[in-house]
Amino acid sequence: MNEATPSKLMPALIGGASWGVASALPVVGAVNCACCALVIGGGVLAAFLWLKEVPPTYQASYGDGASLGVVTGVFGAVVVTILTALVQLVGLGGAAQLEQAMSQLRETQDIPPEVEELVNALTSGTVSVGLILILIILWLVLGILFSIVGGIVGIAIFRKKETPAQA
Amino acid sequence: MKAGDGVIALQPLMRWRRAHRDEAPSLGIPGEQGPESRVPLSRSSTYWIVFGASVLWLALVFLAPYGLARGWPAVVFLYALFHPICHQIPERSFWLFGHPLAVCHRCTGLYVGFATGLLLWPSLDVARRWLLETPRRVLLFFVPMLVDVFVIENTYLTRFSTGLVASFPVGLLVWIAAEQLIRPIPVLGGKQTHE
Repeated sequence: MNEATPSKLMPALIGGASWGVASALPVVGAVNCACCALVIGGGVLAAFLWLKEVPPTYQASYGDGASLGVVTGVFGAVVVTILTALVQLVGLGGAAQLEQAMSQLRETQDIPPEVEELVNALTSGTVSVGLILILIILWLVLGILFSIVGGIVGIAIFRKKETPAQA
Repeated sequence: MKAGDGVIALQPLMRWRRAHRDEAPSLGIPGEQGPESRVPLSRSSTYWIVFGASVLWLALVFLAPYGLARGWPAVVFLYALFHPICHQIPERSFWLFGHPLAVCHRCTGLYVGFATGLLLWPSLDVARRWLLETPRRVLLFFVPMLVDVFVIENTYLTRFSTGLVASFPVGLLVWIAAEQLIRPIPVLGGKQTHE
């Protein structure tokens, strides 16, 4: 007899919202510089919450972790994009990220003038909508990829080992 | 230490190997009820998709300094892609073509470790079974990196190598996950189902 597995939606929503909010915060979001630790952490959290609801006779798989991570990544990307857009409205956020990347490059080498022109165009107010669109795509890619990793690692860490009695 | 101590120390491993010697090769341990035991060992198309994606991701890291050296305007987007997930401090990054890579030493090690793990795990039968028998052992691979970050005064070599070690097992788990998503796993004794 097959056992129904609990829905992944709520754990993914909680995990995604957690990393989305944390990533949008000015200081806390810097933790993502450690190879997207917040995003991975969101995936791990989602896996932990989902595994708490899973019946003891169900052996969760890494595929479950991956599908959980995909949903977590999408939710998180939506949250972080909305919050980043709000921050952008008050003058901080997306353009600042691009400027920071450029300023680090300027410290060590000459930037081609074409690149400077492109960055100036993107960070000006007239194309900020386009920049936000780029950020949405960026966070979807990063969020889904690293939440998948987090979900899989979370399954590996928190999954209960099936005992011979359950076989 | 006496001459025979090494042999005595290896005896538990030798007994374990004798017990599993005649088992059919798989990604898991036949006889265990975990779903990994039913995932095929061979480098399937799924494997090559996952491996190809990891190599592509790594290639972007190295493409950034090349593009900057060539004066490609769009290269700024490559650096911006990795900026949310890496501090990109030039002094803590490898340099190529006179420019820093898109990510730091540690992140480079992480991505190299992921791809290297995918390359090597199909051949590491004993290690693979050891890891999949108790997946929580993946945490052991993270310990060197944590020590490197919080305890010791790190160098480019320790950052790169500990990052490589940390992500080495993750590639295997991601591969297995991809296989499990694509291929339906047979129900064993009615224990599980797939949505």
